[in-house]
Amino acid sequence: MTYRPQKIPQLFRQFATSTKISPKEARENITRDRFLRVDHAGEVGADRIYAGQMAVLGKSDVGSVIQHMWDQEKEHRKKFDELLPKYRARPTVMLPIWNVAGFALGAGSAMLGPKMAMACTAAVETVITDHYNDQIRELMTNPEENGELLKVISKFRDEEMEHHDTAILHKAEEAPLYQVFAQAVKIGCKGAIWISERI
Amino acid sequence: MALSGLTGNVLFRWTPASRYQSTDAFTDDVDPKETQRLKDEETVYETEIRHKILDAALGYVDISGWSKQALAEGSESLGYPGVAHGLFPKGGVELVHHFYQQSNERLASELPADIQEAQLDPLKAKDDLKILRLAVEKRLRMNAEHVFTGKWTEAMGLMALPTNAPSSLKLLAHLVDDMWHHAGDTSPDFSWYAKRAVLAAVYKSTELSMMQDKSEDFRSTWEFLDRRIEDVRKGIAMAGGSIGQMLIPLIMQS
Repeated sequence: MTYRPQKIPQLFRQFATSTKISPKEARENITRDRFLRVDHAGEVGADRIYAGQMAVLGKSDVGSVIQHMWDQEKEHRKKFDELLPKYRARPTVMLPIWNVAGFALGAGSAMLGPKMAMACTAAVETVITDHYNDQIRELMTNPEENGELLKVISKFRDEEMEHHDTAILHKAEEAPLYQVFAQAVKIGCKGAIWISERI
Repeated sequence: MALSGLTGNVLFRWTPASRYQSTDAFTDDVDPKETQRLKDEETVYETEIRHKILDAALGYVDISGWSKQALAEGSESLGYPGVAHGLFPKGGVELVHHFYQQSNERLASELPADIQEAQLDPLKAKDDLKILRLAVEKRLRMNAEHVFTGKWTEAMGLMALPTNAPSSLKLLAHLVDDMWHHAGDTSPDFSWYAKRAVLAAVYKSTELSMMQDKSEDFRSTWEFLDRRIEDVRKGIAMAGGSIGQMLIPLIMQS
């Protein structure tokens, strides 16, 4: 995976010069803003995916497994709900859409059977883990100032990783057309991340 | 297999030095971080001069308006040549934005003390509209001197020009965001936008009402503001307690 230094859009740079904070500070604030926004959106989406899965599979034998993962996602969401106003980052405009799309993805995959639901979980968590790793790498350039975020994101990354492993243990890969389905979900997630970072 | 496939340790294969290897832009020996630092320093230096000239030019607005003329007079008063107004390619509107930005910063720094003085508590939900009322009045009073001289209409006109509107809207957005922040808003959902949109509408309409207000100490403007805040309160009550829901009938109608 290649890493590219993030380019700051000209628009922000221009704005940064009209205020009294230093350009470096402005750049870091913008990066943190984007991270918080996209992470919050991601956790809202994850919360909704598990809600959708529970609506269909809640009474089946994988119900308790999904419930456990859902509870953790709720914790994550709560944490970002707190961090967003704390650092004064705005939530993404797409929130209402991710709300519906997340639930639809969760419920839709669950309707195709528990294995398909697990395949969906595995695909989503793969993307999220990679995404958190990218962020951790960037935050590590200034570990003192980003201490809180680093701690939170690292912890969540580990838990998302666990969810991925749980999904694989519950036979995600035995789902029909696993590769195709997983790729489709991954592309969808990456698109959502791209959008949420920006608007 | 799949378990180890993902863990693949992406995190630890990365080193700060490998960071720029993937791009072609940095093939020279120049350290990109150093280049960036120099560029930043230059920006800071230029920003400082710009700020000085803008501050000085504000004193000439009463006579010369929000114009290149005022910027030239401002830079001359500091000993820079009058053509230093070339630092401001957009002309007079940069002066307006500077004033706007400065007032925003002043509001943000002074508001907490004012809220405390008025014995309001941002943590209490029922106090938030009172805090907003106080903040809007305080911010509008900062424009009062230019409203008296009749120059604020000109400023509003400049800000509304299509080329200037994006930065003007950004300043307005930052202003209402500051106000909501100090009113104790912590909403992490879509109501974040609804709240700011409602407040921006209140602020902007009150600002317009102030333009034509001839009463003493802008009394009728503050009465106008009270009525707008009352509208918001009624709207929230009607929608069952949240500003987010309040917007729904508005969107449906249009």
